[in-house]
Amino acid sequence: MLRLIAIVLMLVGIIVCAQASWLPAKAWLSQHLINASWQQAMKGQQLKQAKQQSKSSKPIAIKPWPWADTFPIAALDFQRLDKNIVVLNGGDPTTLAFSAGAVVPFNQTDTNSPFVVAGHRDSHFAFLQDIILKDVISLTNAHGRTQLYQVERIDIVDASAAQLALPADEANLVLITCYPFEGISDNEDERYVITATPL
Amino acid sequence: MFNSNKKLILIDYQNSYFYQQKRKKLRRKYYKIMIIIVFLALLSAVIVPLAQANTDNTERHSQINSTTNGLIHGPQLIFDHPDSSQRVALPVDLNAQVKVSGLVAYVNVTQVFINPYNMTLEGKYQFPLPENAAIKHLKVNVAGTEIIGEIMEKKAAKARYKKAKTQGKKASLVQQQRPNLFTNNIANIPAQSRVVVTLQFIMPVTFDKNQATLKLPLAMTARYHSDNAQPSPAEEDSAIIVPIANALAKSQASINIELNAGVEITNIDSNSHQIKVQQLNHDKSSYLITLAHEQTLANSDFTLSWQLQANEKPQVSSFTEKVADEYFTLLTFFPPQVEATTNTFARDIIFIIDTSGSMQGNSMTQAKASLQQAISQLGKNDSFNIIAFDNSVDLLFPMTNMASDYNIGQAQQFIKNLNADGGTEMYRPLSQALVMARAAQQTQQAIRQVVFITDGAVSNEFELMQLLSGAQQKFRLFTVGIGAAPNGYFMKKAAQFGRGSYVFIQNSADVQRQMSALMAKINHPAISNIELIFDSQVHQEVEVYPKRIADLYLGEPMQIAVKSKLPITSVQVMGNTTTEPWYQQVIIDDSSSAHGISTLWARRKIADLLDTLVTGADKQQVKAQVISTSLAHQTLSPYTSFIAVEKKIVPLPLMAKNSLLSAKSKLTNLAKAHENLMVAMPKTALGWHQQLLIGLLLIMLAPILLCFAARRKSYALKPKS
Repeated sequence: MLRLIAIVLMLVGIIVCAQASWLPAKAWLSQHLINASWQQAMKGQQLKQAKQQSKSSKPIAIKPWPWADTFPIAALDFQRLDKNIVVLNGGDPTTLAFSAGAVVPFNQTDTNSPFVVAGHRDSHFAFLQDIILKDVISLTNAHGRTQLYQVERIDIVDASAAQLALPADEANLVLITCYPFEGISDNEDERYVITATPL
Repeated sequence: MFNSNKKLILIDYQNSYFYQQKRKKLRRKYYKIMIIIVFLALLSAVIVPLAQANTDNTERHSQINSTTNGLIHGPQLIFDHPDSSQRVALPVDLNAQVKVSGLVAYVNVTQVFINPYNMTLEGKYQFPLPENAAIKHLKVNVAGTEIIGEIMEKKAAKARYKKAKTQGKKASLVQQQRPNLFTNNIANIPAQSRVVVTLQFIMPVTFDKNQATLKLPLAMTARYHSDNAQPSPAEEDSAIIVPIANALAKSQASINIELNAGVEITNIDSNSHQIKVQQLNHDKSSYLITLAHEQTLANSDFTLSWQLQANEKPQVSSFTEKVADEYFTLLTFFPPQVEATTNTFARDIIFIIDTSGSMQGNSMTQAKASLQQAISQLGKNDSFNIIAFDNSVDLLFPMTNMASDYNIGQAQQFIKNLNADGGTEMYRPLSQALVMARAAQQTQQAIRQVVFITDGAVSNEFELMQLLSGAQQKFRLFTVGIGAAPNGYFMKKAAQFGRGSYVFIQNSADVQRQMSALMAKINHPAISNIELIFDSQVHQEVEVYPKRIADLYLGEPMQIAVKSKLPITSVQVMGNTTTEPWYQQVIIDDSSSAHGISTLWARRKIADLLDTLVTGADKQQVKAQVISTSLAHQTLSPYTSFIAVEKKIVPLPLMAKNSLLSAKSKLTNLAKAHENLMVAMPKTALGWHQQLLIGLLLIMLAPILLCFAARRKSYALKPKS
C-alpha cells in the first residue's frame, strides 16, 4: 500500500516538475521565435526605408507564430549587463509568458508619454536586479530608431494598494517586475520599478 | 586445496543469511543518511532564500520609513541636512480657508515652517494632494524671495526649466512612491528663518450613501510646549529655537470652512476634531465651521461630514462664480433618497464579452463570473442578449429576448462554453449591439443598455470611439474593465461617449460585489433623458459641460457646469423618472458667490476639446483652444505645465552676502506638478520556482515512504526472538 502511494507521489512530483519547467522552457523557446520575427521586421523596415526614402512609414508587425495575439514592437539592450530582450505588445499574462511586454496604453514609442515594459522576475526580467543607477539602456523601436536611456530611479512599489502613477509628459522608460527577486510564489504585492530618462 | 577451501568459505560467508542481512542494514543506513542529507539540502535551498528575502524586505521597509517618517498625510518640509540624510519638519502654524460649494471645495492653506538649524539649508516641500485635486496657485515666501507657481504653456515652461536645470537633478534612492504627491524644491533657507507656503487647490467632496465627506490632509506638529506622548522630530527641533517658536506659539492652527451645500443638510460632524458650527442662513444649507478651541492638528487629517436631508424628489442646487465678465454656474443634481423601489425602467440589455486570447486565464474566469452574476439579476421586464467576440462574433440570440427562465438557462449554458482564444475585433460586436433589433414583447420606452466586459487591449481605439460618437444617442454604454492591466483610458472614454460609466475590477474576489453594484445602479436610473432649457433671449452664448448629460443614478450626484455671458437667473430642467416626466425650475440667485467653478468648467471644457481630436478635429486648433482655456482658468492640460519660479520681492541693498544670494537665486528652482497617468501593474512572476520545489519535494517523499515500506516488511519477516 505504502509502495503504491510512494509511486503515485513520485509520478505526481514528476508531473509537477515537468509542468514547472515547462514555463521557463516556453519562455526560452519563444525568445528564439520572437527574435527571428523581430530581425525580420527590422530587415523589412530597412528595405522599405531604402525604397521610399521616407521615415514616416508604418512599422512592420510580424507575429512570431501564426496564432500569436501580439507582435514585437521594440528591443531593449543593456550594454553593461550584455543582455538584450525583444519587447512584445501588450501587458496581459499570455504575452508576458513569452517575453517582456509593453503595457497598454504606454506602448507607444516616439511620443511624449512614458513607455512601460513589464516582465517576469523569474524569467525574462530576472537580470533587472543587477541594474544600478546610471545604467544605460538602449531601446530600438519598430521604426528601427534607437534611443538611449539612463536609469534615474529605482522604486519599490506596493501594487496591491494602488496603481502606479507616472508623469504624463515625460518620455521615460519604465521597467516593471516583481519584487523581491528571491521570492518564490507567483502572487507578489510589491513591484520593482526602474525609471530611466532619455539621454 | 588450502586456496580452494578458503575461497569456498568466503563465498559461503558472503552469501550467508547473516551477511545478506548485514549488507542490507548497511545499505539501508546509507540510504537513510543520503535521504536526510538531500532533504536537508532541499530544505535549506527553500528556506534560505525565503529568509533572505524577508530580511531584505524588512531592511528596505525600515529605510523607507525612516526617510519619509510616515507622516506623509500632511504638508511637510524635508531639509537637506548633513547630519541625518533628511530631516522632516511639519508646519508649526497652519491656516486653512475652505469654501465648499455643493460638492466642490476650494481650499487655501497657509503653512509656516521653521528652519531650526544654524545653517542655510535646502528643503523640499511636500503636500499630499487629495485625489482629483487640482492646484490653482502656489506661493512660497522664504527670506525675502517669493516662489510663485503658475500654469504656463509647455514650451515656455520648458525653456525656463532648462535654464534652471543647470542645478542638476539628483537621482533618488530606493523609496516608496506615492501618487499625487505635490513637491517643490526650496533653495537657500537661511538659518533659523521662516518659510511660508500658501497653496490653493480645488478638490471634490466625496459622496456616499447620502453623506458628503471632506478630508483635508493637514497634519501639523504639536506645540513645542504641549504634552504630546510621541514627540515628532520636528517638535524636538522646535525646542532648540525657542525664540522663534515663542513668537509663533501665539498663533494656532485654524480652519475656517464655509459650507454651502446647496440643499438642506443635517448632522455636520467631524470625527477627527472638535468643531464649532454656526448657521449662516435660514434654509439650513449654509454653515460656518471652525475648530472648537485652541488645538493643534497633530498627526491627523481633518475630516468633515454632513448628511443630506432625505428627500423623495431629486434636488438641484446651483452656484455661480463671476470671472472677468463671464458667469460660471454649477448645477448639482442630488438623486432622491428612496430605497430601490419596485418601479424600475424596463431595459433592453446587451452584454458584450471579450473572449480574445489576451483574456486567457484569470481574466476570463472573472469575466464569466461577472456575466453570470449580471444575468442572474435580470428582471422579468427586461430583455437581453449576449455577444461574445474574438476575431469572430458569436451571438446568443439573433435579437434581444425576454429574460424568461428558459432564456436565462440558455444564456448560462452559453457562458459556460465560452473560451478565450483568438484576436480582438471589437468594431463588429459593438456596431451590432448598437443596431440590434429588440424583442417583440419589449416596450418602446425600454432603455437600450450595453454592458461591455473586456480587458480593452485594442489598437483601433479611435475607430471605435468614432463609431460611438457617430451613433444615435438612444443607448447607454457601460464598460467593465477586467484583469491586471485593462486599457482604462479607452474604456473610460467609451463609457463617456455612451453616457454610461466605467467599472474596473482588479481582484477576482471583487467581481461579485462590484458587478452586482453596477447592475443595481443601472437598474435604477432616478432620472433619464435629462435636458436643460435656458432662457434663449438672454443667453445666446451658453456653454454646457458635459455636452452629453448622463442619466442620474441613485446615490450618485451629478454636476453640470455652464458658462454664460450674462448671469443666469433660472434654468428649466426636464427629464423622465420611472413613472412620470420630471420638471423643475431652478432659480439661481448669485448672492452667494462660490469659488472654483470656473476651474471645474475649464477642466471639463479641456477634456471635451481633447475628445474632439478623436472625431477628427484640427490638431493645431484644438491645441490653441486648450492652451488658452488652460491659461485663462489656470487649469492643467496636456499642453501646459505647472511650474514654480523664484522671484525676488524687493532686492535689499548692499551686502556681499546678498549678491551671493541673488546669484544663487538665478538658479531658479522650480517644480512641475505633473498630471499623473495611472498604470495598472500586471502580475510579473511565473512562480515556477515554487512549483518546481513542490514537485521535487514530492519526488523526495517517495523514497522515504519506500524505505518505510521496506522496513515494515523486514520487521514482518524477522523471526520472533
